[in-house]
Amino acid sequence: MKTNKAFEFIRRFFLTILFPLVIYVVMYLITHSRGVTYFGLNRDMWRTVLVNTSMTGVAALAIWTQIKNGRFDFSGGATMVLTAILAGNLSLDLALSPLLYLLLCIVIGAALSTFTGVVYILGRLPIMICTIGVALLYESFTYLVYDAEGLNMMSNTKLTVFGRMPCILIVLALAVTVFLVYCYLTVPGKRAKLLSNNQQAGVNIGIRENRNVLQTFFMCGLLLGCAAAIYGSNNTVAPQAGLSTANTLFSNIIPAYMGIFVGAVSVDALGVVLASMGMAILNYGLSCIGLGSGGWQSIIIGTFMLAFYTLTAQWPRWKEHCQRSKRLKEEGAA
Amino acid sequence: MRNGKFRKTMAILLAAAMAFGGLTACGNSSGGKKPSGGSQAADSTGGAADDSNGGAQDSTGGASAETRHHKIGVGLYTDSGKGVEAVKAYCEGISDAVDCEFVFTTLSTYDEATNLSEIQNLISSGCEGIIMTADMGTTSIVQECQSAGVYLAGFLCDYNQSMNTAFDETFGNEYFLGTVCDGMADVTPYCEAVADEIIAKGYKNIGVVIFPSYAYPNQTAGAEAFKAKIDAYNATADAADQITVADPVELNFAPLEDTYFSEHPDMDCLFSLAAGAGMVYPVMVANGKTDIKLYTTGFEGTDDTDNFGSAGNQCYQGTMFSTPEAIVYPLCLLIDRLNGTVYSDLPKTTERVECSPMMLLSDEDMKAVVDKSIYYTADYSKAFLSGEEVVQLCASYNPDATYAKLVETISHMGVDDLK
Amino acid sequence: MKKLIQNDRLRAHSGSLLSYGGLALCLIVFSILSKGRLFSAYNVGILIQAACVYAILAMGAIFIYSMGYMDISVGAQVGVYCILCILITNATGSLLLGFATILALALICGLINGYVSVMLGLPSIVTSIFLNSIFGGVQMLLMEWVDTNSVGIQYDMSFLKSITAMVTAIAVIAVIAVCLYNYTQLGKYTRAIGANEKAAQLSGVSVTKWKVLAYIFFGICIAVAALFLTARTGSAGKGTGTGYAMDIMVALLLGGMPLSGGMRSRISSSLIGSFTYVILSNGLTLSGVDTSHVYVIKALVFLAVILITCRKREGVLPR
Repeated sequence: MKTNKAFEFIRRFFLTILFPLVIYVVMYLITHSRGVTYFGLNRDMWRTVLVNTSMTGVAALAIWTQIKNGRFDFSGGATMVLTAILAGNLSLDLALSPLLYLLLCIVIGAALSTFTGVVYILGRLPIMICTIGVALLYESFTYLVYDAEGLNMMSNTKLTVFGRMPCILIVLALAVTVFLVYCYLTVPGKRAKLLSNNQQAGVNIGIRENRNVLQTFFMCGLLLGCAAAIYGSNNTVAPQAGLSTANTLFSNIIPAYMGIFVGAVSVDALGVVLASMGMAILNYGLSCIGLGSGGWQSIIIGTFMLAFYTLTAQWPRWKEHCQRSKRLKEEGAA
Repeated sequence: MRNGKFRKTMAILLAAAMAFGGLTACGNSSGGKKPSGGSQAADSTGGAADDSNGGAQDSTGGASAETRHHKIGVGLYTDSGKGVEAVKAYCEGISDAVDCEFVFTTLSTYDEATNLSEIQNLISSGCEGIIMTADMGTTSIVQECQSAGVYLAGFLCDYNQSMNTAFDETFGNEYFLGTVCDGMADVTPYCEAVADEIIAKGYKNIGVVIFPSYAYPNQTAGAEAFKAKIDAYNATADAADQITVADPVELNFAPLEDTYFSEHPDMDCLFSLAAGAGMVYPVMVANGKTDIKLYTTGFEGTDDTDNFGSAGNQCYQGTMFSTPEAIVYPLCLLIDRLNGTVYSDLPKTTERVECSPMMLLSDEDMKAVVDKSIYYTADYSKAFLSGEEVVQLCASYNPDATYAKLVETISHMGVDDLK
Repeated sequence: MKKLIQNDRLRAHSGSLLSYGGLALCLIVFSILSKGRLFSAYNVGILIQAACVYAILAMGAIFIYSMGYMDISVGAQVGVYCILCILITNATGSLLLGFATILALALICGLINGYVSVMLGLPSIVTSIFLNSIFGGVQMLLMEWVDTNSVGIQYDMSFLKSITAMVTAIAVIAVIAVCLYNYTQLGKYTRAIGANEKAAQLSGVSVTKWKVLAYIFFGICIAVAALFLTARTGSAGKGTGTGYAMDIMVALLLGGMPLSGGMRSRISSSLIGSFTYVILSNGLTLSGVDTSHVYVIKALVFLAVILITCRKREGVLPR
C-alpha cells in the first residue's frame, strides 16, 4: 500500500514536471546543435529563467484566480502597474525597507482589486465590461500620480531585493501559498468554486455572492500586489493609456491556461508555475538561437500555444474514444 | 424604479465628467491668453541674470518687438518624462514673449494613423503651425497641412525615413519648413569620444548595440567609426592592452536579450547607441550585470543620473542627448512664415540642421546638467535662450535676424555652454 | 394595456436611447467647449475620416461580440493587410489585386477563427491569441524584409480618401450589416448563440456554420477597413493597427453593446460607439484639455456610459 502511494506520488510528480522538462530537453538539443554551449546548467541562465518564471507565475496565478472563478479580469494589468507606481514611489519617498515595500504593494494591490470588486457588485456590470472600465480608470491615474513619472527604482539594490534571486522565490512561494490556502482550504474559496460551477444554484443554497466576490477580488489583489512588487523591481514602469495594460494581461495568460493541463495530476497552482517555467525556458532557448524577439519569436510562441491547446483539448475526446473502443472490445469478446 | 434612479445618478455622473472636461478646458484656455510683450519672460529672467550659465537672460534689455499672436501645436513622441516636462516648461516660459500659445499632443513613433489624427485635431483646434517630433506618416501629414494651409516643422527628429524615401513629398513641400535633429545627424564625434574614453579607462571587452540601420543609418555609421578608432589604437598597442570589440547587435526596438551577457561573459563595457536607459540598462539590472560600464545615448534623468560616473553603481559612464531649447529652430521658421516673412539668407531647399548635443562623459558634465539645465530641472530661468532672445531671432520681428544666426544659436547648446 | 406595451418598448430600447443620448450629450458639450469648432466643415471631415475605419471594423465585430466571443487579433490583421496591400499594389500597379489578396486572406482567417476553434474545441480567445501572435510576427517580418520603418503606397488612392467615398463605404456596409443582422438567419442565430450557445445548438442551429459565417463577414470588414486605412495614411509600418482591438471594444461599449452578446446586441451600437469614441478624443483636444486629464475624462465617461447602458437589473451578478 505504501509502495503504491509512493509510486503514485512519483508518477504524479513526474507528470507535473514533464512539461518544463520536455521543453528543456528539446531546447537543449536545438541550442547545442547550433553550437550554443551556455544553455544547460549555466548559472546566468537559471537566474534569468527563475526570475522570469516567478514574474510570470505570480501574475498568471492572479489571472487564473479570476478565470477559475468564471471571471475574465481586464483590470489585472492596470492594477499591477498602478500598485507598483504608488508603492514604489512611497517606499522611495519614505525610505522604507524592502519588506515594507512588499507589504505596501500587497496592501495597495488588495485595495485596488477590492475596489474593482465593489464597482462590479454595485454596478452589476458584466465582468469584462466592468474591468475594462476600471482598467481605463487606473491607467488614467498613472498620469495623475507622481507627475506622470511612473516608477524607476530598479537600480535601488536594497529596495528591489524581492525582484531578484533568491528573494524573488519567497514572493513566488507566498503567492502559491495564498492561492492554495484560499482556493483549497478556506470556506470562501470553496464557495467561489461552487459559484463558478453553477452561479444560480450557489446563490440558491445560500451563498452570499457579493461577499464572496469581494473576498475573491481581495485575494486576487494580494496576488497582484506580489506581482507588482516583482514588476516594479525589474522594470521602468511608465504611465499607461488606451488599455495597453491589457497586453501585460495577455502576455501572462498563456501559462495561466496551460497550467490547467500541466497541473492536471497535481494542483493547478503548481501547473501554472511550471507552465511559466516551461515558457521561460522556451523563451531563453529561443534567445540563444537568435529568435528571442521579433517576428519569428511571436510566430513560434503562437504556434506552440495553439498546438498545446489543440493537443490538450483533444485529451477528453481521445480518452473517451479509448474507453469506447475498450468497451466495444469487451462486448465483442463477451 | 430603483434602476431608474441608478440610471439618473449615472447620467449625472456622466454630465459631471463632461463638466470636469469643460472646467479643465476652460482652465487651459485662460492660460493661453496673456498679453504679449514678454513680461513673464522678463520677470523670470530677472533672477537668472546672475546665473552662472547665463540662461534665459534678457539680452535686449526688455525691448520687445511688435509681435503677432499665433497658436502652435506641438506633437511630442511621448507623454511623460523629463524631456517632455522640459519642452513644456520652455514653451510656457517663452510663450508671452514670442506671443504664441502652445498646444501639446502625443504622437506615436510607429503608428501613422494616430499621428495623422492628432495633427488633424491640432489643425481643427486652430493651430496655425505644427512642430512634430516623430517621423511616421509624415507624407500624409504634410499633405493634410498643405490642404489646410498650416505649416509644419520638425524638432529633435532627423526625419531619416522621409528624407530617404519621400524627400520630394516632405522636404520638397513648401508647407514643410525643415527640422532640427536630435543632436547631430552624424554621431561619429560622440562615438569617437567614447572610443577615446574607453581607451583611456582601459576597458578590454566591448559590446556594441544599435537600432536597425534602416531606421537609424547614422548609428551604423557611428558604430563603424567607433570600431575604426579602436582598431587604430589596437594597431599600435601591446598585445596585453588590445581591446576587443564585438560585432554590433541590432535591437529591433525591443530590449536587449538576456542571453547577450551569457554570449559575452568577459564583457566589461557596453556601448549602446540604441536608447540604453530603456532598452539595455533594465536588462543589465535584471541579470546583475551593472558592473559592466555603459556608454549610451538619451537621457531620462532618473537611474542614469543616480548611477552616472562615480555615483551609485557607477554603471553609466557616458550619454548624449539634446536640449529642449532647440525648438526655437522650427518655432522661428514657423513664426516668420506665418507673419509672411522669411530670412534673407534662407536656403532654397528645406534643411535638416543639427543642434549641439549634450555630451556627458564625466561627473562634472553631469553636475552641470543637473544644476544648470532646463532639461533636468524644468526651470525656465535655466534655459539657454529667453523668450525675448527668441523674438530677436525671428526675421519678422528683427530685420537683422538671419538664418545663419538661428542655426549658429542652436549649435551652442552643449554641456560646455552650461559650464 | 397600450401604455404597458409602450413602456415595454421603451424599456427594450432604453439602451439604444441612452447611447444616442450619450452621443448627443458629447456633441452638445463639446460644441460649447470648442466654441463651435466641432461642427466646422474641416472638423466634420476629419471626424468622418477618423471614424470610418472604426465604424467599418465595429460593424463586423458586432457579429462576433453578439455571440459573446472576443477577437484580439483585429489590430495585427489590419496591420498585415495594410502592408500587404501596399506591397502588392506597388509591385503590380493594381490596387484591385492588392485588395483581392487581403480579402482572400481575411476570409481564410475568418475560417480559421470560426471553424478551427469549433472543430478543435478551443475557446475563441485562444484562436484569437494565436492569430494575434501569427499576424504580429508576420507584420514584423514583413517590415524587416522591406527594411524600412514605414512603407508608402505609390498608387493614387485619393478617391478613397475623400469624405464622399468614406461616407459611402460606411453607408454601404451599414446597410449590408443591418440587413444581415436584422433580416437574415445570420443575425438571428449569432444573437441566439450569444444568448445561450447550448440552447441554440439543441434547437438545431448549426453553431459551426453561423460562427464561420460571422467571422467571414468580420474578415471582409477588416479587409475593407484596412483598404480605407491605407488610403487615409498612404503608408503602413510595424505599428499599424496597434490598439484597434481594444479601441473597437471600447467603442462598442460606448455604443451600448453588451460584450456578453445575446439578444440585446444592435448594429447601431457600432456606429454610435465609433462616432462617440472619435468625438470624445477630438472634442477634448478642441477644448484644450491637458493630455493627462484626457485619459481621466475618457475613463469617467466610459464608466458612466457602461453603468447607464450595461447594468443588469436583477438576479445573480452578470459574468
